[in-house]
Amino acid sequence: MERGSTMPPEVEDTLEKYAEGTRIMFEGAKARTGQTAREVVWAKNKARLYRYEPSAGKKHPVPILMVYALINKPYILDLMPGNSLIEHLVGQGFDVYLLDWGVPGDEDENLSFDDYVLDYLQPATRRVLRASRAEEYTLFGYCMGGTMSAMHAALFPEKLENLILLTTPIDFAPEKIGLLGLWTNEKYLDPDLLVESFGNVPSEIIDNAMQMLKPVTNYVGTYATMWERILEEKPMETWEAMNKWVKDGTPFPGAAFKQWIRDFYQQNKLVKGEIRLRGHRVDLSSITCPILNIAGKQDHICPLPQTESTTELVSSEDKEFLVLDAGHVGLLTGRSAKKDLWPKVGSWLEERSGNES
Amino acid sequence: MTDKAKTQEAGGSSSHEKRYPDPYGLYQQWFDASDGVRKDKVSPAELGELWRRWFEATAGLQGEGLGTESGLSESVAPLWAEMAEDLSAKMLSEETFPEDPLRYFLGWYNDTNERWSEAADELLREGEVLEAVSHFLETYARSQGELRRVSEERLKKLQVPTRSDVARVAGLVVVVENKVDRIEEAFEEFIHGDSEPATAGAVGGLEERMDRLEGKMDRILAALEKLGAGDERDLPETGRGPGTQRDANKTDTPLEGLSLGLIEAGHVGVGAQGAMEGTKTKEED
Repeated sequence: MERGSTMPPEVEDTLEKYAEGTRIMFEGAKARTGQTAREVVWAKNKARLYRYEPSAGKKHPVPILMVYALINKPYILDLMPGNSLIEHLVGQGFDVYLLDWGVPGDEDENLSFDDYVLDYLQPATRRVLRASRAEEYTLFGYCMGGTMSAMHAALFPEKLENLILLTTPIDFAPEKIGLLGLWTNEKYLDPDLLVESFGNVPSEIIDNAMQMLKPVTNYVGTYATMWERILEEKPMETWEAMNKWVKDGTPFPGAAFKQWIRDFYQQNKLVKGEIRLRGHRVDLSSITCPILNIAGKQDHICPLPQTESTTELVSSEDKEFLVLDAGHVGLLTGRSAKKDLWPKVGSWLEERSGNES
Repeated sequence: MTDKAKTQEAGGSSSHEKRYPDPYGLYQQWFDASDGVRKDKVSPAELGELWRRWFEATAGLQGEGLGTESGLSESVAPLWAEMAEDLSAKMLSEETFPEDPLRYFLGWYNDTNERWSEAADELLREGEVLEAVSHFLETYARSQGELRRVSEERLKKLQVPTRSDVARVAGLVVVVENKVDRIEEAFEEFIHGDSEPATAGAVGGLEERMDRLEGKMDRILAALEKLGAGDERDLPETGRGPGTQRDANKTDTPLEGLSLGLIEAGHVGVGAQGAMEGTKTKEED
């Protein structure tokens, strides 16, 4: 309380809390994210390949390459100290890499999944192997990054040691994808029109569509949680980091958006084996390496049925489908992630990534 | 609380404006009323009126935000309005008013959010809503596209570089970057890969092997031609080609000088070169 103020302490305290909440609502959440030490080992256009080398020494010779979606930013995988999957894996002695697609500019309007998988992801895997002096690698895809990883794994199975797909949409049959199935129906959504008008589809459109899947929770519940935490004087760092990430979207490159809506959502070509990247047919049955397919029971962005068929489509003998009681993002961060997901991923990989002699 | 203190702390004073942002003056009214109730200066009816005004103000704010930011007012605004009315009615029907509206709201939200989530989910699946959202998105996209096109044309006439000009240049930079990347990768492949530098000795050795290989090929060809000439004696004239006549007088046994290690080794395809290397004549032995 300021000197000379006659305001009762409890009112002063309430005002402070209201000021904090109002500041966050008006100015946006501020948080320091992505703090695990890393270096850029390769860059191409806007994409960056980061390496998170274990400071205490590498325990496993097989490096992990993480691939994130084309929308939002990948720092959700390294949200903040103590709440970061990457930090956890690095702490376990894994050599971790993250492929960050960057923020596409107008000049990237024509980048398609063909380009991203063949010209970005494929060279990135070579760089990973070279930088780690390894013969094989693990591919870890999250959300759309998982779809891209699965396509890459099907086309280039040679040096792939393990594949982990986290809440990865594979089967886009309308009855399996919930509200998104309705919204992306040809009757209601013309991807060509959006791309023709905007070039890259603005992040606001994508973000609002994602948030409208659960409007009460996302538009009201998020801030109800914020006020609760402020009033109860609970730490705000995690909430602020999450809120910053949710609002930190990236535009969806035009050509890729058209493919994503047309070929995946509207025509479900991936499970039919009809996706072709520069003429190369993506056949998921070509995947033979060990696979861990993880889904969230409460995921409304990539509902459970959308991920189930993946395990059946691949030819791997060593395959596991893990369902956790969490949502699309909650699965990856927070208390339940620390308890369920991180240890599972760590132990599954430890058994399949060898030991440094 | 004194009048002076009220003005200073509740956002009226310029020195405290930034510290306690109160753009709608709601906090001030609220704390004034709380203070008034404490001192018996404000009646419950007056406090009720204050709450009514607060709800009207925030409900309007919410609707405005939805309409302007996401443009989805047609589909969701009625739901929000209903929620606000529900909250307001519940509060105003009670005898005592909560001291902190936020705590009250949070309690109400926790009690009812599942119901509202289900209602919203149902609403968002309705054909009419889907049509409306689709129509809005289409109109918005077309208008933005048109705006973009007109802006481009105007700026071109003004000789001002446009976004698409910048994008074109950036595209060229990306192409150059890709080429540099390919060169870099080729170099790295060379440095870190299995390839070894080609020394003069290695090239010389390769030449020697090629010469030997050529010699063997010549001998095989000659032998085959001799064999062909021998067979031709049994063939009718019409079956002879121009090349066969040339060596017709050669009668040597065709493959007798060769051990035919090529055939014995059974190599085919890529490995055939190795097989050829292994083919030796009796002379060489």
